[in-house]
Amino acid sequence: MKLFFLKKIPTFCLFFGKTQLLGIPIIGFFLFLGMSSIAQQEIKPCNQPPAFIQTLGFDPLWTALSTSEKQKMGAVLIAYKKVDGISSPLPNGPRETVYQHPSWRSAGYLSAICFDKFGNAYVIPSPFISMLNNPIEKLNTVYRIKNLTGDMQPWLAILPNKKTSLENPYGLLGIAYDCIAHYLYCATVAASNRQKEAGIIYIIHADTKRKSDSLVGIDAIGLTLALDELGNKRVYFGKARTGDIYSVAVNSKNKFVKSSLRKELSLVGIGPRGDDKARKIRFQNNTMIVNGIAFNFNLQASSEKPETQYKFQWNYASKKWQLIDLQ
Amino acid sequence: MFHKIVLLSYCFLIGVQVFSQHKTSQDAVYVNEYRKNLLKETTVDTAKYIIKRKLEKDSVLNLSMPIKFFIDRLDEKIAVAQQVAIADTFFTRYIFDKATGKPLWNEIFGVYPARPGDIRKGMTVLPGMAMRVEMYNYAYNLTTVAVVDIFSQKILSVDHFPQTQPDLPPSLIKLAVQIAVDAPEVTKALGFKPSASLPVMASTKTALNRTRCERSQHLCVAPTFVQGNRALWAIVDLTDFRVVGLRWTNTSKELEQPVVTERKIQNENIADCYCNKVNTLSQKGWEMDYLLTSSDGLMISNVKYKNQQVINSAKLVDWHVSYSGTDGFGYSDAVGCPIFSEAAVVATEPPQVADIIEADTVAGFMLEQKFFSELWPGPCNYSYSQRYFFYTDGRFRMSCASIGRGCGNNGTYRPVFRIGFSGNNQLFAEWNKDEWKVWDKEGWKLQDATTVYTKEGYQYKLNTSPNGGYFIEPGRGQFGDGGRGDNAYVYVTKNHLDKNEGQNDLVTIGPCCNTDYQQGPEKFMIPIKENIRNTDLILWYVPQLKNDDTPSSKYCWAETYYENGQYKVKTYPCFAGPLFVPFHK
Repeated sequence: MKLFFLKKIPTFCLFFGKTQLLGIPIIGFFLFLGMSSIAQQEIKPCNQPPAFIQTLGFDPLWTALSTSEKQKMGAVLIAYKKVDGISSPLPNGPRETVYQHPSWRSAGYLSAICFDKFGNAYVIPSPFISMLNNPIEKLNTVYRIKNLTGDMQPWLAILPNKKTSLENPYGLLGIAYDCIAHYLYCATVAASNRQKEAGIIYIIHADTKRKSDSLVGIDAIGLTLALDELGNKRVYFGKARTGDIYSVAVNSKNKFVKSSLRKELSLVGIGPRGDDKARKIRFQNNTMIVNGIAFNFNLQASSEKPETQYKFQWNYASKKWQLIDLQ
Repeated sequence: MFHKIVLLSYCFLIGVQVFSQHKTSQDAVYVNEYRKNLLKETTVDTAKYIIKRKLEKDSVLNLSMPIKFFIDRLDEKIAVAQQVAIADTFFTRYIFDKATGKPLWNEIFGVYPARPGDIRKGMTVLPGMAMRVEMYNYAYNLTTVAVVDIFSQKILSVDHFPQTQPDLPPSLIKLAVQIAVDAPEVTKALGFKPSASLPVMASTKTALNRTRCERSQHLCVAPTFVQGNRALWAIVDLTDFRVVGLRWTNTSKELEQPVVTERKIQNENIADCYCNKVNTLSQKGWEMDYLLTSSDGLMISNVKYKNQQVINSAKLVDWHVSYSGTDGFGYSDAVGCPIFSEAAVVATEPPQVADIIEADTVAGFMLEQKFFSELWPGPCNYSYSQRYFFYTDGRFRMSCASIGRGCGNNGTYRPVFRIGFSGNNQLFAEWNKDEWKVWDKEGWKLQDATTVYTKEGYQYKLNTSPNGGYFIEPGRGQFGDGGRGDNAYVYVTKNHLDKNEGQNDLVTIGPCCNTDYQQGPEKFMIPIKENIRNTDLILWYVPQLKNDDTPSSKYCWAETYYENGQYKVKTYPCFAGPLFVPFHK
């Protein structure tokens, strides 16, 4: 699940939480704080709170969009109780109510969410424990929750003619919005199986839905966009099979610079499990923060999926990321 | 893949494990003693160094502070640092079981000069006087680190790190290497028995690699034997003193070296040896193929008894788990392969084969597959067992059990079996007090308190041909496996040979929480119930098992308990499943 809290002066976003991306509870948390804390490598956020939140009578600052409520399939809007002396809610803070639009269950269980600059939310389906509510043919469809109405409808079938490998219960595993160019980045592993890494990352225009480019042969999760040490825009992603984190530059025409594909770092051998995959990557204050989980292309879901947050800092001298903290 | 995996050697290793099970009666599973053998512990140790280590552990547990100290007679600072550390109540916070106050097994692995990063802001200490004390707790798989000022004899900081293991002391490194070199699997893989002295041969050297036992949460390391451009990793569990698994990797300098861990070895080898490969089994008059499926458990197929095919295939399609406290709360768990599968609860160990003993006689054999969630037996995590019994007299039984623990004590488990018997001229009948009443159409029936059985306990009869077939005896607590009765739905559907009637791997067949006959098989009866006389049939069997955590009658349950400084798992499986008894006209 992801929880998104939205403030009106968007300068900085923080994200943590509990969702069922990959059948795993995760929470997302989206906060907009002060101008002064822009991270060196972070792209300035542009995301807007959906207008329907206010239309429904909720305060956008005290609500969160979630995809990982244990007993609610699909997306829900959580309205938190306002607490004196606290300026914004915490993911586990007291709740006023939980709202679900009738259309938000229609895609089965969902995982990642991203918002565009107009307040539209894009979500991707992901089976949770079983395939019962997530038919294979819908696993590559991006859904959009409209800014004004809150209605959720299929937005784009990424691979309409390709059947997901029977060995692999997943399709889309990652989605990110590019605030600079108004493009969506979507990663699917639909065609992959144990022997063949056949995932694809697409760049798709958020208005025209036209695919600008694709990067083939990579099973990616935890997509995010950021500026590298030279100020170039790159898409960062975790490799779903190995725990490595890679990045690839994107040029001004919104095409991958494929020769720039590089390994940033690896989670292999570190952390309590040693074989984590990067569920989520974000940048904050010159630090790359990676949320790592066990992921083995199955529907295994423990009650509390152990998750570790790794913090890496870029060492300008060695031109390498250094682990500075994990918890 | 950047590392080379040598598959054959590991499949062979698993084969040894499987097939040695039925060679001696010592390893046999007694039908009425399932629980005892369900999670079998390490066999009795005979190696002197393991016996010594166990005695050492026992003596530590008898101390007022159950901590083994790190011994270095040449450095007084080390002794002082440890004394200061153990005097601190936060450092010793986890050395006893919270509930019972019983001692847990702890060991100080090392005492070192503090690192620059250990001295935090505001700490003042004379140069060379800060020491770092690292203690490991085997029960919690927890590392506690104290930074100590040995001049003022005060604690500077204490941190606890769950699921973390400190660097090993020399004594444990030596023990790990000893366990590895003495393991017959290592000898088999290397082609010779290595020596414990390092290096053992000019062309072969060992190194100790770090690894993890993610599933057992034990202290594990990997003595690694390098041969040419290959390395054999032997993962050694230093909590249970055994080799967990082996894996060859490529040591080419151009390639990044993988970290080999317990989970990785288990997953890849189960996939290689049982998911991607059909195995065969031939014993006591029976022959069959078996395959671990993506989501339908362990499937047997082409089953022959005395050279005659009797079963086309049988499998365990789903586990539906519902909780009565909350409407619609529960899960549909598929069981199957550990990676690249639709399974929610996965196989982590190979299937096992064991003798069935009845009245001190080998009456047949059992094929069993177990499935686990990662954090089982923690709440909301699951484990299941699936068993096939083949008797020398032609009887056959399939059963399964929930081994807890689930999300509450108000759960009902509904496993869905699918069985396709051989023969395209079948008849299905149920006992109706006086006679066998043949079913004309597809249908279902619930076994309940009003069900009538023959004097032998049979509820149904399946004619697989005009010459014979099987009586079907549902579970009523008579099988001696702890089962308390199946309360099962039985469905019979027509098997169209030109359609998929569920023979392929089935994605989730039904929702978690239907409490009536709608468990999934009924989908094969729509839009109309077809005639099922003298045709090819599929039998579906869905027992209903209510869990129980009442102390004297735990059922479908599992929990941890304290034993000798560690936590172990006690299980209360609820087995269910029908027996098929052959008859001939």
